[in-house]
Amino acid sequence: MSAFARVGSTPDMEETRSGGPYGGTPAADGLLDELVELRLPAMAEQIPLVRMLTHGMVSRADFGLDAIADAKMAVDEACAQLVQLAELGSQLHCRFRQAPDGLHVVVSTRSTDPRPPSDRTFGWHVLTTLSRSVTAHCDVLPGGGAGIVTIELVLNPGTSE
Amino acid sequence: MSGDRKTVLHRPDEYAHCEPLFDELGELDADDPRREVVRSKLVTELLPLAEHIATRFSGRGEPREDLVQVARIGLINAVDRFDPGRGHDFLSFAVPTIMGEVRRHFRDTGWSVRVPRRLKELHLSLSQGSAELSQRLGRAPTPTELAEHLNLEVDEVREGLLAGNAYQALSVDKPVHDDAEALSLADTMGEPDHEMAMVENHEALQPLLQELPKRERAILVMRFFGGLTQTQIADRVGISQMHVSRLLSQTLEQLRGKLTGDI
Repeated sequence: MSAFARVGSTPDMEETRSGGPYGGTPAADGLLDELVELRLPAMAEQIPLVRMLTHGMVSRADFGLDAIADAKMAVDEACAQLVQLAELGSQLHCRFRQAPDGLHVVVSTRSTDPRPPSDRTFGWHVLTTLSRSVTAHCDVLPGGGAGIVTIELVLNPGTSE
Repeated sequence: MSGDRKTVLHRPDEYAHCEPLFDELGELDADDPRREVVRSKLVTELLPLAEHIATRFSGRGEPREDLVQVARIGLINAVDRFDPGRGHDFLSFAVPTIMGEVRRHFRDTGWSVRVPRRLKELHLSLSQGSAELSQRLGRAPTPTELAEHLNLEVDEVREGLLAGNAYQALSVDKPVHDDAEALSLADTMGEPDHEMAMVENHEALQPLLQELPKRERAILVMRFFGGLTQTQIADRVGISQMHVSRLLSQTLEQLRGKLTGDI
């Protein structure tokens, strides 16, 4: 598990650029006590690292084997969608938080095309199949022309069925 | 720990009747039509040797039939290159030659990645353990449940699962017999068109799906348009859940690359 040792686990979190995608969900604030974050260049080659961290998170949370694999595919897909929208040189910001209803994953990046990804693509269909819930939003940055695009997933432990 | 080096029971007398044939072959001129007859007879007599060696390498993820074919090629090479005049007996020449051919096959099919033996074994027991538990629980087990079942530390299980995903070449969980039957079953499910039609880029998607290997397409459709879990799919197709998982994410990645323009 040493691969995960470098990942910061912070008691609270300030969204550095967008002013906080968590802002709209006050109920979630109480659950921020174990936030794990990863920031990395928004490039396709980096996605396997997010995948590894996801594996660490969900296997530690003792998800079922199906759910572990689903979670990794879902995060893969979310990251791939954002990487495509990302402004050159920007970062992919991934946050993981354990909650009673599953693992919450929030992935965001800066984009010059400040629109959330379409919810009618095959990729989106994949996301909804693999997650308990998926939402996407975009916070346009002051001055317009760019924004922070965010995909939020809630991933099921898959042990209750 | 019976490495492949110990190999094959040496029962020299088993093929002793071939020795005169080698002598005969050695005496014939290169262009003598009798050569071909004797050579064929030799190869036929020695076929069990090739099978024997192929068997030693089975259970490592390559279909047995393929291994037998490869070993037979090795055998033919050995027959052609054997020189009785050098004083060796045929077996001590042929066995390493045939094994070399089989090893080369594993190397060519990408298998001889040096995965530590411990990990291979771990992967195998995780795979079997999860199949057993899924059966009992009616759902995929968790790492904790697997650890208990297999008498392992849960951390070891978590790491093993990660490794199992990473080593693509680790095909220990290929079915023993490549079975087309399970797949036709998947095919009969059809493709839920209405659900697929909801997808905006389905016109782009359809031809890509058709291009996929049959099994990969069936698995993808079962998971994303048929609502089956990976464990249920594994059951139908006759491979492990881990293998389903690997195939699914590979297929998605492949599609993603091709659909890029449409997202």
